[in-house]
Amino acid sequence: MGARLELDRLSYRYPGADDCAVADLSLAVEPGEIIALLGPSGCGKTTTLKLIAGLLESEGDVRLDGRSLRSVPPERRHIAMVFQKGLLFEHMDVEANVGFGLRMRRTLKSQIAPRVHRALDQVQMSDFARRRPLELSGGEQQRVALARALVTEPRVLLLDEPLSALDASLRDDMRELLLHLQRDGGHTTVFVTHDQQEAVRLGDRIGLMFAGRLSMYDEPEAFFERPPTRKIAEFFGATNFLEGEYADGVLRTAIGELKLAARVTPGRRTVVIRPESIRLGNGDNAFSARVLECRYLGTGMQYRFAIGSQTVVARLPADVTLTAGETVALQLPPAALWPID
Amino acid sequence: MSDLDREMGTFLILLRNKIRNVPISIAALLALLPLVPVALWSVSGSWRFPALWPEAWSLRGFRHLAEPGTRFAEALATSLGIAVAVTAASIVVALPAGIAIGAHRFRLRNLVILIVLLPILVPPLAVTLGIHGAFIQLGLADTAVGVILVHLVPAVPYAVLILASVFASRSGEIEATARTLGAAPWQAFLHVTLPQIAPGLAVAALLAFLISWSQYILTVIIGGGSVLTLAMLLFSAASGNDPVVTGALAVVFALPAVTALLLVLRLLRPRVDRAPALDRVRWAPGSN
Amino acid sequence: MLAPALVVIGGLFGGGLADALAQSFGWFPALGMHDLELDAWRAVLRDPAILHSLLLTLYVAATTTAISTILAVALALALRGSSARLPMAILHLPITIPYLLAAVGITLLVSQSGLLARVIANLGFIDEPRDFPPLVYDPYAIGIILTYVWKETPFITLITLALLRGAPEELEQVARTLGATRRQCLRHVILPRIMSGLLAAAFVAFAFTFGAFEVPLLLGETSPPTLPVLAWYEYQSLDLADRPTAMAVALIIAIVTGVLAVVLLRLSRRFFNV
Repeated sequence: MGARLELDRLSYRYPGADDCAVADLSLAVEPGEIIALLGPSGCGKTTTLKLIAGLLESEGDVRLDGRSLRSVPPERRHIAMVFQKGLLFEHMDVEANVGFGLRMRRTLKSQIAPRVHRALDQVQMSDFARRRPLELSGGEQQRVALARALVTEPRVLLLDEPLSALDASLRDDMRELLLHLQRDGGHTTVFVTHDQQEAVRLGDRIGLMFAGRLSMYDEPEAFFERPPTRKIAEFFGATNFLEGEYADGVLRTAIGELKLAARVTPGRRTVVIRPESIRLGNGDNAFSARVLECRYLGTGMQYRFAIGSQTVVARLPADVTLTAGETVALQLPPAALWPID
Repeated sequence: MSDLDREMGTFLILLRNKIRNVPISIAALLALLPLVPVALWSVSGSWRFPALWPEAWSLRGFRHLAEPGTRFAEALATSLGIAVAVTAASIVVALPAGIAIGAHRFRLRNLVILIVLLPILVPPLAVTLGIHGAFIQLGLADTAVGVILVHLVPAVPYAVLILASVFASRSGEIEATARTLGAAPWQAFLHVTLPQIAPGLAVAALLAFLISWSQYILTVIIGGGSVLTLAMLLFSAASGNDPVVTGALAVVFALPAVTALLLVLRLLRPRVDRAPALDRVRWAPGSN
Repeated sequence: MLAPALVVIGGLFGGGLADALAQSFGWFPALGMHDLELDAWRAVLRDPAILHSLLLTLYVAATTTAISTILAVALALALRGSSARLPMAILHLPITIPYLLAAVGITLLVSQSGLLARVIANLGFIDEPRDFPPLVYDPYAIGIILTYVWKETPFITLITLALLRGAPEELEQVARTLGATRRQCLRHVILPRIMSGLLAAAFVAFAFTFGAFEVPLLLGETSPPTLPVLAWYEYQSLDLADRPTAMAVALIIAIVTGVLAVVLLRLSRRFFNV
């Protein structure tokens, strides 16, 4: 079973850099939980993993089950990290790669082989034990790298963009395998990704990072349904922002009055609505909208509408067929309008 | 954690970054060390044991070189002329070979690389003695042309290696782009390839120049004393016992090496060495 | 495209080698020598003086290579991640400085009246130059070895640095998170990765010092001379009968390095290639 991981005000500045790569980052991961660190490239996600692993010397503290890891070198932390490219040792075959950590920690020889084989079995690479890393595909290398980390029975598993180097077709398999192994082994896991879909599908919780700082740390739904800021809403694909003056339960915007389900303090306010929350039809907050543009998305249709001077984007089921120039009734359900800062 | 802890941590990290430069500084000092007495002797007037510093300064050594009897001017001109000729010939010979080895895969490529490397792997003395025999018959012995030819033996392999590494790191896609934009092959080479490989070309040229400039034994064997170079003057001075003249000659002899180094550092910012050449070409002992 | 280079190297190098071989067997038509014979080789292989020279030359080259390689690896590991530009530039200097000049510098530094002896004298340990141990023209060839170490260490260091650059830092980081200490990283991850390139660089240094001429002629004892110096003495001899001997000695140099190159090639293919 994995350990409880706490990051306490972690900060790191690369030598010679002006800005901190990671600034004042605190969060906790419960035992057996898998969390995603999500953010655009260069936001400090990978640096955070290296700080957790002890590969870079940070300010602040990392604690495992309450015990500080300050001045504990990486090899004694029992925190295994899997890098984006797998990074197998090219001068060793697959079996030797997977057994590496056990050999370094001087595990009894008689125990190494069975544990290595079990680990290879878990990632379905048993038939490749004698292969050299260069003879493996990217997906195979990634699985060996995963086995190499799991075999050391880490208290925390760190994954740096584990899926991004893989083809789309391999990605689904690898994701399922990862989830399966993580749940089975109960490893406390932190993974890093720039892909919000991946974060949502894999993570129990998501830590969203911008410029070295943790902007939000919550369950995936919260990022879609209750984004606190416009930046976070945009990162999660929200495109429709409506601004107005709030008073007496309604927001007075350029396109008219909007009823809100959420409680809002009076004043100048912005609300966001996700494209998939917009519906055709009448009711509260219904407006007459002209179709500007339609695009086929495979799983549905995406339309751009003009409501007066405001443009909104909506995703509608594929059986709805509208043509550009047509005018329809469009509803923005009050419950789907979320106020942001 | 207290603010004091935090400050201490920051301080320790800073200190470690400073300490990191200590080994390189020591290494650099050791690298300079043998050149210190050379430079000091060249301008010393009197420097008796056990003084650490010349007791009197003078330009006697350099003035001595300027006297006609020393044949210094002649040797300097010969060394320069031969080195320039070797440089030009090396580039002409090595450029096509560098392109072929660096940018193309062909049968027997490893064999070709091995042949090119042979003069580096096998000391050239036997070869030069053999060449001398042949040059006597061809009338090239005791001539500058003969010396230039024999200098090519060590110069060309290094030039080929460097140029091959330059071309190995190029995909050819930029030239392909130029072609789709209407450039003929020669135009693509002239306007796209050449400007981009210029630094590598310059490094190869500098190295060829230095190799020729530094040669002693090859020049002595083939030149037979009729071709007098600076290396030969320095050798006979070093065998004598006037460290002031030796020092002065040595300083002149060191000038191209120092200049070349400054140039190379300018040309190739981060990596400047024979190393990437040997490393990237995947040559014999590491190739597969 | 390969033709010019192959003609130059094949013609000069191959031709010279063939000519040297022919002359070692006593075949030199220009001087009226037409008989193929093994006399020179027989004499050379039996001559204890030549064996001495061979051993001395091997000693100098092997010692130089070992010291330079060990220093270079240590230095390269220490220099990784160093950002000091000026010292780095200075470190390149010995590579471009001619061997002849290096020998002059080392002499002025470590000879009995050299700078080092002066420093020791000023510290009060010695009074006169002859109290200082002879480090040039000495039986242990210390001056020669010092000169070569000064020249070869930066060369191997820079190659090692390039090799280390080829091994991403993250590879070591992976090893660390899997439980390897710094020392284990070096032993199990870094060294295996750079070994074949390092061997190649060490060999280039060995081959050069084994066959080089200027430094031992300038700094060595006259007896026994190193093989290249011996070959040169024989070649300069007025007696034409010594020519085949000179050629045979010079060829021994080529053969020893050639054989070593083949052995190393095999070894590194077998053990280090991935």
